[in-house]
Amino acid sequence: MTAAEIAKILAEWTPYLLTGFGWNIAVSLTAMAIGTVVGLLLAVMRDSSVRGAKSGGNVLTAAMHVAPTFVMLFYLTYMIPEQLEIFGLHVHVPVWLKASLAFGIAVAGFVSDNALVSIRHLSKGHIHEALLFLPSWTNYFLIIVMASSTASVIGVPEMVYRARTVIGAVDQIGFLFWAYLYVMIWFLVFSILLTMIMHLLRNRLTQRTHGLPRQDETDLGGIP
Amino acid sequence: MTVVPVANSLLRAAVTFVLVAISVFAATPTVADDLDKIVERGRLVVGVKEDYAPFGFRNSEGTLIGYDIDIARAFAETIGVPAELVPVTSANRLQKLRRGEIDVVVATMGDTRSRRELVHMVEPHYYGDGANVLLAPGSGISDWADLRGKTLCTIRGALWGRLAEERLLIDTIGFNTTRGTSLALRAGHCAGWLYDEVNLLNELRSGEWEGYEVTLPTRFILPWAVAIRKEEAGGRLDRLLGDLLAGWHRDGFLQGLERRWDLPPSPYLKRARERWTERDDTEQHVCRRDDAGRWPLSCRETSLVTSEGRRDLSDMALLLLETTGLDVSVLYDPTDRSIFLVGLGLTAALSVVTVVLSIVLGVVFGWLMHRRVPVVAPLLRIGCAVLRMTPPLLQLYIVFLGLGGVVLALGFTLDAFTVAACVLSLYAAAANAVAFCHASDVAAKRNGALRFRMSDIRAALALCFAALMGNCVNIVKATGMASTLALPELVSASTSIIAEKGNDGIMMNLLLLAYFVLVILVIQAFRLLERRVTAP
Repeated sequence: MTAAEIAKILAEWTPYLLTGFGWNIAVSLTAMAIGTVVGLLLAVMRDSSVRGAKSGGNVLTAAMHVAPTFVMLFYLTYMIPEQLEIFGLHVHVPVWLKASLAFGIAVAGFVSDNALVSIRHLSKGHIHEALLFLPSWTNYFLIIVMASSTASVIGVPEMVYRARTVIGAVDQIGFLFWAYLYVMIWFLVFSILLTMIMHLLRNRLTQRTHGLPRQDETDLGGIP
Repeated sequence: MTVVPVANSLLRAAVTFVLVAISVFAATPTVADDLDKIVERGRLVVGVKEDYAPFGFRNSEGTLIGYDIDIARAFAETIGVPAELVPVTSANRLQKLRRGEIDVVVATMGDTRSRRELVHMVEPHYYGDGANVLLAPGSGISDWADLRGKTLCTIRGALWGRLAEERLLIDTIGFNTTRGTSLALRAGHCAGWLYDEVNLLNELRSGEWEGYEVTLPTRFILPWAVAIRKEEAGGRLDRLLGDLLAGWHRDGFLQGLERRWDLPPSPYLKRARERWTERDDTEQHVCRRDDAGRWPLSCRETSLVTSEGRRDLSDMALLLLETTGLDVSVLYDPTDRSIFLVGLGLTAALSVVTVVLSIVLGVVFGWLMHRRVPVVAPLLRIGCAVLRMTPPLLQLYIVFLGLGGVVLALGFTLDAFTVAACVLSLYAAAANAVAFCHASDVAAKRNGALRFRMSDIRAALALCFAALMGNCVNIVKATGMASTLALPELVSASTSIIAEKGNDGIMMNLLLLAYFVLVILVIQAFRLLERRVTAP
């Protein structure tokens, strides 16, 4: 295969692959939505003075930090039937939603910790410090988008899954490497763009904080 | 992410998690009659293969076609509804059927006793095949005995791997897809590809396997069956499909399909046709249902291959199985136990190697970046950014599958453990390096320029300890990704046990529990280390 041939095939399949990337974003945003709601609840529980709520919030948050998302993908796939019966209602649970739930658990653990810090800042009236939650949240969204590629193992038709379909359809030795590299570049471009937006946001906010040290860039600490 | 929870609350959380999970899995829905359900729904949902030419595969338009698919469509046509085809794999087809996600499985599935404990096999069988090996060029293997002690690639969940290990003492590594297996064989990860003979012959005819050969005698001959849910045994759906299949053996429909899909003539179908067309003195078929709807014994497959190992039932596990239905097969089945223990050992080893390497590399890279070494530091910065901003799963694929071929050309083979350990270590090292570099900058600002000596490194380490610990905990949690390289670690081990035993609930909880314990141990180890690093 010549470089021109490879480029041509990749260009042909790009719309198909990018639809897959849409799935990555959709699964990740759903995970962030679920995780943020649950995480905020946990943070409120941990901030309360009721002893049961406080320790319950702590234990649940701890469990969410320990659960590996890759294992949770398999766990939820096997444990949640596709048709769920809730109060006599038959609910269809698609596989992408199971993936979102698996990632949502990690998001909830993250939000629980970070929202707790923000809640405490708010109670002191430090609004801008509290708002630093937003760049961290965006950063975590990026981590979840990276993690969402693993949803391919349970059959979510996201970009890595589709790359495998393309490799099968093209069926040329040596094409595999270029297909995966191409997909990787899309992830990289997305990350760079989002990171730039995040830095802008963070710089705006840190200019107005009460001498709080600017959070460093070590947040991108691997998929949970 | 650097907030680290208290260890004893983690243990409590682990126990709660498992209890909740067990109660969730204990509830299974039941339905009265699948045929009613199918007619009411207006579709027959059939699980088929999508990567198994010529039985179930996709044409250039992406449509599913093949021998199995023709059968699925003919079933649906008789019932009078359209067929909805759902792609399944060897590892998930029985689970999907048992959970009611599909009505029927027509997916190149061999009939075995252990699978009969999970689903109902419709008789007669619709095809028959045995195992063979696609051997690499110049392998020098002329008999199955020559394979002893060698490693073969196989499809995870397929029966042959287990049989070869138990009966022939051949090592196997299982991949998720046909594609993965063929790539691994080409990359030299195994001496041959152990699979259904007909499929291997078909691969050979594709012309892509120059020099490769299928020369061993057929082993483990096995009839293929259409499967329905166990509750449907003897029911209307069972009778309908069985009568159709018997009719297709008689009128040559199945042999016609064989020719249509250009399959080599199967001795199994030939024999089945003779059997099902035979008539007695009264000109009736010898093979016809009795009053109770059963086929005569002489028409059935009486000696089924079984994949069960010698069962050495431990009393406790047996009691648990009988009283609660919980199938803790790792306690009584020696094969399952060894699969699980090997998986646990590999995951633990991979975790230790990855954590140590990621810290060592992280410190070295971080130091070079901190010292702004010309050329090296900027390159490292770019490298770290790329590693951190792309999915580790893709990094694994590119190195193992993409570079595997290149390395093979140089005369080396990549082993899955080494690749997983290197890729995951580098991924975590990238995050560690950035944290260590940042910490060194801060320490230098505070105490003046650092030198590469123990005390200065310790000062920087103390500053970024929480970040390193967070990164390392995350990489331990990500070790399961090595399962995609067919490394028989804990996730692979659990799913392959489920594929044979159907004990999803038990194995998934055991898997999660094992990871909880592993992560807590890693956190504790870091705690001990923290005291040493931060001590004056």
